[in-house]
Amino acid sequence: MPQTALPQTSPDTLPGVLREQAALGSRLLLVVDTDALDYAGAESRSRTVAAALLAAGVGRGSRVAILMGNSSAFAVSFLAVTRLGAIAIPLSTLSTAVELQVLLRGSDAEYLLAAPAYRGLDLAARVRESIGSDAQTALMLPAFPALRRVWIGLDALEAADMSDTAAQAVAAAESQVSPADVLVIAHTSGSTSAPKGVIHTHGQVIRNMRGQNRLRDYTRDERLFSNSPFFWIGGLAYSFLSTLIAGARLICSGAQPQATLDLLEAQRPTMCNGVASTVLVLAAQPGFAERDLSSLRRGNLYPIMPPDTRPRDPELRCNLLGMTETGSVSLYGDGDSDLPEEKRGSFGRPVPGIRARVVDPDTGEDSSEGEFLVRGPNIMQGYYGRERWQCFDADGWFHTGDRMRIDADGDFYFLGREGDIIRTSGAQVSPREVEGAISDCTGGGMSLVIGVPDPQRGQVVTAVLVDAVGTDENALRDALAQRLSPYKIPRRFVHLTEAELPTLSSGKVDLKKLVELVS
Amino acid sequence: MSIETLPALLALRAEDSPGVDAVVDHDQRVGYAELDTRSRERAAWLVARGVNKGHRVGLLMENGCEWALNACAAMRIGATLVPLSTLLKPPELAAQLALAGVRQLVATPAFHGRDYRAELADLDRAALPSLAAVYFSDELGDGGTPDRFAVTDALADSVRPGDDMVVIFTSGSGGTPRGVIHTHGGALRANAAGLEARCIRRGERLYLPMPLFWAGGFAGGLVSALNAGATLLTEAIAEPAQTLGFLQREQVTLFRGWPDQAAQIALHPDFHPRQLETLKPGSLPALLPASPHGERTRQASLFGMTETFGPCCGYAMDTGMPADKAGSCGKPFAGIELRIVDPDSGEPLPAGKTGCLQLRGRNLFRGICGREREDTFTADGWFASGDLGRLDEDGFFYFAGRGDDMIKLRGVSVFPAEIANALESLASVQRAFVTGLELEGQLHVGAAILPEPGAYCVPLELERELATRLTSFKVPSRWHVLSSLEELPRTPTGKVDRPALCALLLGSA
Repeated sequence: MPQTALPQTSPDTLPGVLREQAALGSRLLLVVDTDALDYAGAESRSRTVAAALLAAGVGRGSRVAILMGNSSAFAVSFLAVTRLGAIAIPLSTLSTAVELQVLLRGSDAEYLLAAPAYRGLDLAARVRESIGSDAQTALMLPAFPALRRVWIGLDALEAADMSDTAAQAVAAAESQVSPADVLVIAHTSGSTSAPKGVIHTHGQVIRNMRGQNRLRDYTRDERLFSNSPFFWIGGLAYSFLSTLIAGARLICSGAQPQATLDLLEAQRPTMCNGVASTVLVLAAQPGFAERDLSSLRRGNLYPIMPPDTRPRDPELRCNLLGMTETGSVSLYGDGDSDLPEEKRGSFGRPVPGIRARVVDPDTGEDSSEGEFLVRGPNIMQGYYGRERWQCFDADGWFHTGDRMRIDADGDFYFLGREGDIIRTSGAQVSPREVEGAISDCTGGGMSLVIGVPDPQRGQVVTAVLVDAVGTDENALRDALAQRLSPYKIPRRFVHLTEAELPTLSSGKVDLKKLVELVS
Repeated sequence: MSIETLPALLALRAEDSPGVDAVVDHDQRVGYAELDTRSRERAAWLVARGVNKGHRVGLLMENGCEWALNACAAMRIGATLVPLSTLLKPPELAAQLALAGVRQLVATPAFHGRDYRAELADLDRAALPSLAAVYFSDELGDGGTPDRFAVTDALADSVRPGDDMVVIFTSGSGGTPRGVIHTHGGALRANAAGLEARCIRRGERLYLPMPLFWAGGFAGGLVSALNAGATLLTEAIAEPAQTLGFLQREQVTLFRGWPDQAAQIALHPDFHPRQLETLKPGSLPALLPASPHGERTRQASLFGMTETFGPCCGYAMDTGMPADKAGSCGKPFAGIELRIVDPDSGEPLPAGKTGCLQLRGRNLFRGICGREREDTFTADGWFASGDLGRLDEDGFFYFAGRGDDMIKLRGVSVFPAEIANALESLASVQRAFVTGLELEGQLHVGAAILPEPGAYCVPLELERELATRLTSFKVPSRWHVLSSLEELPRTPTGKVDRPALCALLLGSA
């Protein structure tokens, strides 16, 4: 039967990649515990959903929020949205109702696709609480003026029969998508309480991940185990999209530790990536030593890797530096063998498409130690709703706020934040946001939130409550849990009087000394 | 501190100038309070039909109050306005609708002999998957239920300076039209930065015979008026006799546009110099009575482009420029940096050297539809405009033509503007238009000249005179003497039509 030629689709766009990779047919793209998606299914299921979205008014440039954990439903939703040239806005499933409000409003989301539930969280209820309405269609909510429709689960979108006309409409939409179109608005925690939506285009993300796949030799023969969440850039780009582009298989697990180990034995991943502290629980399981994880040859989840692949000392393996603004990893080095001692703690060099320098923040001149600046085609377009000059300096450099050292060979070493963002177990926490929440919950109580160094988590969120003896910590924790994601809630509370706070000559609190004091 | 979003500007003007005319056409006038309330009513109607923040809303309509109302309705809710030229042929229109990803199109049913209702019905909608709806201006409605108004107002409150405001297509005189994207903040600041030099102040009544769908009319006219709290006088069709009556009735104070547009009116038998007595200095000189000293002020020729949201260089138009800056376009307005680079090496050139113009700054456009940033800007943020020129020691900019006008003679880049300037410095030559042209495989310099009134130009004599001022190979060898400026071929936007000029020069051998 003669087939109508499909319109041209640019290979540097998500629909272009998807069309090419659909040829991998029944090979698996994604396995999340018992939930699996093959390449043909990724293409066909997302086409069905795309057709239904198109019929509901979603089109090129529409902003569609996705509130789902790692799952085939997330994958299908993301692919459906972006193959139409609409913009995906992944939202953290850890978000409280208040945080969701800020994200939905700040990103001007027009549509929301949410999973009914994820890991015991009733996301449907959270969405209702957040938008303050049970309605899902024809929304006209002054608090969310751009929001028109909510879908809980994909059932309604996948139920529709795919007509030829609908399929052609999807293909026509795909042909219009350009590498310059926005693919995703990914959120980062900001240094103020307002999270920033980072804009990345199709061309940027796809070329970046192609380049990084070559760097780390990620090919279709590999199977990657990573639990990085898809709603943050690392999981989205460096795990999910790079797997799609490589034609490989991604394995995730949200199950109980023993079931996760069963999954790893059955799926036999060859690579792993993520935050090592999150797999300590697997290595601590009874019977772990008898588990066969010999398939794992490369990666950075050392606690579960075979002994012969582990570093003598993790600091002698090249670290990865990633940021939402750089579309995931920005500094990279070969992480599969040990570095010489003089390179201890190295983060390697910039990935293709990114130029980096270290600048003395006072003089603006290149320096061996100072603030880390990046620019290049793989850097974000900017923050959603902000002008370019608010995101970059006049010469196009993005000031990361990270403090770095650069050695004579051009290798970079991370020294800390120029600012004060707390990095805990792979997540970033804005102290000012937590301080604001504490103030709200205590009726204006003063606090200082700091990151205290921790061997496992990197840093631990710690709140210094000032002149607040007698505060009921459990009640405060419960109150904070209504406002903040679990990872933002201080693990430790410390009481100090105002007189006990170390101060700088300027009279401001000396945060460095404070960290030392409570450590 | 300028206002940085369109909805904030509409609200401010409704408050501080409620009774002042915002826009006046032949049939209608809309004051600032009315512009705010009526554009809100129209916006609520559009919101009820699915228009949303960020949607690209096309506007295909003749100049007039309705154009301004629909444009403000779309922009006030954060939709991105896409003005479309009424001159576009159907395939060109389809290409621009696709390139900009227009979701909803507001169109005039018919204008100037074109039946848009029929033409748009013939559009291949399957090839335009983004286009959800077409509304003709005679079927637009206003208002809606209270919740629609609440959402309409909340959308207006959500608009930030960083949100896209407009996609303006270039007229295409330099190749394929480009859809140039401006944010609210960038556009309104760029415009505000030039208002003082352009003498557009509160209370002025500005006439500009340019279509609102290109940067000249949209930025230079409509947005200038809103930004200044002035009045825009606009016409669907400019016809000298009618225009004169309109301008007299509406007490025009500023007349801007292309010099020939003013000249045409000045030539009209009904025109006499005292007729437009409300006109102020800073208007096009042809319409102003000669000054008591018998000389006209030395006005800077404003320089700008779609990418700079109208003029980005200028100088106080009422007082004129310092004598030693004759021929300059003035200085760059705040928020825009200019530099000149070597055409071959790309290295910045010192003051006084002619080369390729590059621009950057907070007020520059954000990007071009369908084009990646790296294909538009250098890594350090410079945009190569394709123009030629030089900057003097004091930062005054001198325009020297388009880069594609540059003539490569004997391996040397020759700037047509340099030759034209040399010609215009001769006593007998009023205007000169110079271009490179190919004849029998050889590149030649050609010049069309308009003699000074009463003067008589003989090409051989001009060649002899020029030889004392220019290197011999720069002296034109093909000539055409124009009987009037009307004889000069122009594009629809009033720019010199280069291919037609070449044909003219080759034809009059």
